[in-house]
Amino acid sequence: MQSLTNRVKPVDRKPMTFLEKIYLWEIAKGMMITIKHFFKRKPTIKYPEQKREFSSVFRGLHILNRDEQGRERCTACGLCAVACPAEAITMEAAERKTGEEHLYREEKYAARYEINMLRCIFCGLCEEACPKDAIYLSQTFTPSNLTRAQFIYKKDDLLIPDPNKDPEQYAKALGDRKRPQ
Amino acid sequence: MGVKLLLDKAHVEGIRYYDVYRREGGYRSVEKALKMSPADIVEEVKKSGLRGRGGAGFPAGMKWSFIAKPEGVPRHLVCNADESEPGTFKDRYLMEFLPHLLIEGLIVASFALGSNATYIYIRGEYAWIPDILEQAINEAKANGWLGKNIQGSGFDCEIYVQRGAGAYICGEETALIESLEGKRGNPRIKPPFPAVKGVWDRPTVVNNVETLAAVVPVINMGGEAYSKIGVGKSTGTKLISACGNINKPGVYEIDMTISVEEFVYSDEYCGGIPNGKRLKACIPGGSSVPILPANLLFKTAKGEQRMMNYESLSDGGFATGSMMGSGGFIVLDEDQCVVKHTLTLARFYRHESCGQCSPCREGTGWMEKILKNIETGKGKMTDIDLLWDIQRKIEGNTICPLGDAAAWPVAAAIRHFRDEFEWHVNNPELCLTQNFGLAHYADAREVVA
Amino acid sequence: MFIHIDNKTYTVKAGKNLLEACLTLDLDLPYFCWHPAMGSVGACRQCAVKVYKDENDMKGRLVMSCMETVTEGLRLSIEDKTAKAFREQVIEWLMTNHPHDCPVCDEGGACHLQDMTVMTGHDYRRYNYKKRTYTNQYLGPLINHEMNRCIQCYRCVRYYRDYAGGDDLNVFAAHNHVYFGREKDGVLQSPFSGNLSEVCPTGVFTDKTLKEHYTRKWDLTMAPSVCNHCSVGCNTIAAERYGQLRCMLNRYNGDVNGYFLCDRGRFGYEFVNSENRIKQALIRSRTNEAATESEIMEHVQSLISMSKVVGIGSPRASLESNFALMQLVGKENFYQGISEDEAHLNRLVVEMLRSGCVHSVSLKEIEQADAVLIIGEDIWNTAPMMALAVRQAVVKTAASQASQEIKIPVWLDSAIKELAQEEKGFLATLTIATSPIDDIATHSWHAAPDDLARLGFAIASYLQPGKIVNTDFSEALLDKAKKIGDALKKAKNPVVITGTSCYNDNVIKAAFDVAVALNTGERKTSFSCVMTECNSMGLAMMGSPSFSVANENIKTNGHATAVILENDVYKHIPSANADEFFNSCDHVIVLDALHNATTEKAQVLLPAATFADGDGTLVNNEGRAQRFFQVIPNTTSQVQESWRWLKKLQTLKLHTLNGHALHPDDLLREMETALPQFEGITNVSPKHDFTIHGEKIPREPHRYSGRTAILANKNVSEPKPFNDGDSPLSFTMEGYKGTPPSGVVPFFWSPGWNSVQSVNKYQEETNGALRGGNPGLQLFKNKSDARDLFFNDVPESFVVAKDRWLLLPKYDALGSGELSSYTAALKTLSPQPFASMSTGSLQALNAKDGDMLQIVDAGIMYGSLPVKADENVCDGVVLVTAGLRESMGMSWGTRVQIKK
Repeated sequence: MQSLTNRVKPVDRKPMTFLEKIYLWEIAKGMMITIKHFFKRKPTIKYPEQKREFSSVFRGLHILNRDEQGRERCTACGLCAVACPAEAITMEAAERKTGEEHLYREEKYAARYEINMLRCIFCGLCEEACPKDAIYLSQTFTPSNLTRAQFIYKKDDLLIPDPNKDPEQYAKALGDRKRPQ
Repeated sequence: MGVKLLLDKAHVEGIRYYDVYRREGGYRSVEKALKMSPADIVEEVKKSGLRGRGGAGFPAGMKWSFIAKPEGVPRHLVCNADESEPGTFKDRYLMEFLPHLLIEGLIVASFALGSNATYIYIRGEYAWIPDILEQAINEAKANGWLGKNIQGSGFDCEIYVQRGAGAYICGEETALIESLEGKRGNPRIKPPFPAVKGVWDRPTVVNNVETLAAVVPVINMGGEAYSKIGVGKSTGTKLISACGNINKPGVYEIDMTISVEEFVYSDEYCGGIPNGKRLKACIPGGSSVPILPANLLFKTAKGEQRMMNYESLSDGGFATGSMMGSGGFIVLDEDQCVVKHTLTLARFYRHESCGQCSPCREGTGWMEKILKNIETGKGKMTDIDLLWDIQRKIEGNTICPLGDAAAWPVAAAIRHFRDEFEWHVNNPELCLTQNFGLAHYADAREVVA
Repeated sequence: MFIHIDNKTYTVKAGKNLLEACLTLDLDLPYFCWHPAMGSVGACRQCAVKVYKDENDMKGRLVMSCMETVTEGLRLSIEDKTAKAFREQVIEWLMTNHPHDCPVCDEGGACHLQDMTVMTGHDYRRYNYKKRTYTNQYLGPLINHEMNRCIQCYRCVRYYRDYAGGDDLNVFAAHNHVYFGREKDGVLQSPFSGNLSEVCPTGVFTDKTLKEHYTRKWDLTMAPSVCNHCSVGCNTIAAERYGQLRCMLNRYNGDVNGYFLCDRGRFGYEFVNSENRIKQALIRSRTNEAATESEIMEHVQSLISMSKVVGIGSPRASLESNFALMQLVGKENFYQGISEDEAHLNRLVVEMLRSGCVHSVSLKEIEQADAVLIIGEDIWNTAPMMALAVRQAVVKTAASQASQEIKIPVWLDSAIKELAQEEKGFLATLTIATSPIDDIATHSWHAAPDDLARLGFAIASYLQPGKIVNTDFSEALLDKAKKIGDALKKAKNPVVITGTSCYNDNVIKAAFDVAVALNTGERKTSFSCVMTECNSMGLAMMGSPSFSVANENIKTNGHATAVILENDVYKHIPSANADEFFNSCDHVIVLDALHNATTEKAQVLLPAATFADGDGTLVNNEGRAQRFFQVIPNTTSQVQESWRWLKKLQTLKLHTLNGHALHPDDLLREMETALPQFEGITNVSPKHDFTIHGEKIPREPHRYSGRTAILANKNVSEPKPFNDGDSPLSFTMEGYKGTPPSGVVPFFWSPGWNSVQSVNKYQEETNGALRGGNPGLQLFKNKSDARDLFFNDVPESFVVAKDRWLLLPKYDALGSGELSSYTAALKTLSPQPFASMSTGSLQALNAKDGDMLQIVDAGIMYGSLPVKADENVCDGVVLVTAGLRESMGMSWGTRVQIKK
């Protein structure tokens, strides 16, 4: 058959010599490569005791952020949901009532907010779509759960701890990404 | 000493009252007019070349001849006494001191137009004038000049005084009609024109106070004779209300043959600038017409002398000219700040916008805010361009002329005094305590000398 | 007529304005203050284009396209730089004070202002000053007010005051601080206030009931629907999310409701989500009442095979359901679920319209009428949208006359308004009591039904002398007849409207006679009769006997099982008669969607679908059959359309189960064969297997979000989308993306047009018919060889009896409606039941305003009611609120006794 490109490499099919037939030399060559690795630096780390440094733009699990007064920033506008290519976000909006101003930043809030983490592809488009700086992809990753249903993250799972009540947990959840609050 | 047709008897003691007015030759024109046919009166006014004194300068005779005359539909004459243009107060003077002159003119015009119910729509702020007018109307009625069968001619006419609530926009004829009908004073879309469908759907003519008063001399002396006074298409005499930095502010009657320079400096009129200050700028026709710097005020761009008449004042278009407007002559001396002055006007127009169409409603407020920033030293250089851009998009794109009126002063101020605006931006601290002064706008008189 | 737009030549219709022409040509031009139904005022200055004198004119002139008429050979440019810059500037002006709170705004995603901002290309604001703010008002439970978002287009006041005739919404203040609202906080009085939410180009006026369960437009599953709350049959869009009906939107139908809905129609949807819904089939005789579908089928099967079965149909159930019941029980055992009195009137109306002598009028045609006569029906309260149409007729007639007088196009709203001023077209309202529509009437007269009928006959007799035999009319009556008759004679397209709500056949006959007498020569007269429920006409056309007959039959023959279809008998029949019926039945099987007095009587209860979770066809009072489609996918509960239940029972009974799925199309086909009066009904909408390029029409917009998450909390393994085999619509976002056939438009959307204004893109021309013709199928045809139907039953004048009062219903525009009253907001606006009588009648009773009265009819006692004195009710008549939640069936139109 005529070759289609000029990159064809003809295979040499001549019979093996005696030295090649006994394989010993080739085994020794292979062992050399193996032994060489004993003296090289280890590429793996002891996860989870040890953790790697991440890029500051790593996209991990989502958090729903609060403002400096601890109020929820999300207004349930639905832009993250409509931006989501995996269609994994759904929410229901509710009107803030008088007396709830300390809980919610604006007149609407998410009464229900769910992300299907089994479907999420961590692309970060929700974060880009958010007009209220409410949703972030944090640096937390590898969630583990016992059932698939537990991967449907509810608002409780997503909401960041209150910075005023629990600054430590808040900082931890936020990660080292310096974000405006 | 120019010809005086309206104010010649203004200083006669008690001229406000019927007896004195009649003794001084009042109501002669009514007597004469009632013997003429209405069409002849319109013809006479046409011949006189009398132009509307409200600001636009539309020939009054033409306007009268446009009125539709459908069978069985009453027609109305409305006197526009909603004189709200800042710097204009000639109508107030007329109504306050010569109420019978207006009534006389109204009767003649009503007869010419066939209006049996004539309205004077008067500005709300002129709180005391309706009483004067009503008294004059009652006197006229008592003497048979109003009411049923005037002077045995078979013509009936009633004059009603209607007070406005103090909206500038109601000086626009269709907004005035709306307001007169008891509605919100928003300008109407034309057509239909008031001459076809005006007050209560009836053919209506709306004329300024001074125009109607000028009908009296027109009839008395004849249209032909009247048209000989003045120059070109600017016939007759014009009341100018002069104010600002002049020695003798007041209402003057001019016959449109004098020059602007004469008007400002002669002792017969404004009497020059007080305290030996120099002239900086002047708005020759009421707040909405373009401001003119001193060097363009006395001489046109072509170097000709600028006269006090419709044509000469608008010579050069808006680039180097202005307008006769409503005759509000405002003089600014070297101590005045053009930015502050423009801000005052912008604030006025923002407040008086009716809120119907977007460019005027939103644009005027924005212009005011920008001007305020520039005036208080918070402006940026781009603000001046922005201001220019906004005013250009307002002009000509609104339902009624208020948008134009708001845009022109700003445009002219930037056109002629851009360096002053820039100085404000560049000297944010200094502009709070000091004025830009004259800079290179030398007083035209000095240049000539 | 040819015009040139950006150097391309187009053909346009003469008489339109440039904006309409551009939009009709599918060219995008932004606008705010112009509205297709309300015309132009030129206030927003958003639609500016450049117009050129001729091909050599390079400079052009900036004009507002909504204010200029198209002229032959006109040259204009949309793309011109100055025009574009100006349009961008206008948006920038409007945006200077707009709060940009789209994330929390209900309008977001369906906002005309958003669309127009994107369309003009404005993206950078140069205005950096404080925005002006306003205090919002409480406008009642239906409409939310957020004045900061206002862009002052004046559409709201123009709609509310000029179009709908309300007077409690206005514009206040001036310059850049104009305020649109009420004089002070309070409920908006107009029953058409809901349209403000669609008229407002941004989020100033929004649907308050939607706020309870807010969803973005792009997230709604939508389906074409038909309003259930009166006989007019306005087209609606039902919108669902999370298994709940979220809101109702207007669905444009150029022949019926146009751009608007009444508040009862727009907000009366909450019954679908009600706690009171029947979701579970019940067998009441068992300890465990809840039954599975197979259990219930078996049980019902045994019941209906044991004894004679009687079917009671319903004026609010679909044609399919009524027909399925008729098939199940047999034609001879099928009865209408309404009183004999009402059935008699309905039969009469069907006879009149079927005769084809006069045209059965659509709402659009009413709008274009030049004289309207209303006899005996308070349409403001029984058919609000018809009242709105009459208002347009009255206002527009004067306007079109004025515009002919001096050449001004009809769309130039402000000029026309100035011209027309207070002038009105001819409207005569001859009704029992006053109605808000009387305000625009030339003549209005209030009298007892018999007297109204007499006047009607007198008019007919005046129009065609000699046709009426007994003409013992009084001078005063003849004088009135002459005045009205003369005005009607002048008209070219008069409309006569009557209704069944005064329970008097003479009134309807008189109205019909007037229509027939007018229908001569060039004059094209139309006739309309308002009925009580959304499918009253459909049920009446089936021509079955009334409930009263069923009651008699059961009493004499005994032993029967009654199958009651979506009908609260107690709302139609006096409770004593209903009790009598249920007591004589062996078994009562009820299919309904909501628990009510009748379902209490049921031994077996089957959960029926509402308009939102089922398919069906309704016939409105015009005789227009219209199809509604399921919008709530039903995956778990037993709820299904009544026709499906009944059809399943029938196949079980006849053992004809052939494994085929059953579609409404099949039922309609069977119906066409069985009942020839429904000829052509199969063409009411595209068939269930209709596809375009092999694709169904998606109920969800392509931006629909959360598909993999929406049900994930219930089932992680994402069930497949609900399969709708009954219609050409699919329950997904995939499918045909172009313009679907007009009858199956699930929502209005077009690229760049996310708001309701996108309806422009679905019309043949602005304000015209939908592409492919307006949906709906007129079942009554005008016949040129019509048998001349004419009635000669002039009644005696009404005589006030000493101790007997004529009992008549009084409906309320918002409160009346068996189903709509489940919307809490409407319930709060609904009046408490009361009776009203004239002061004369009250004196005769020795009662005063506010007393409690008891109405007694032939020994039946009705609950006691407070009485109100009303000068406009004539002596001898008692009006009792009807159709309210608390209202029960009464013997309307009969003389009753009243006790203090």
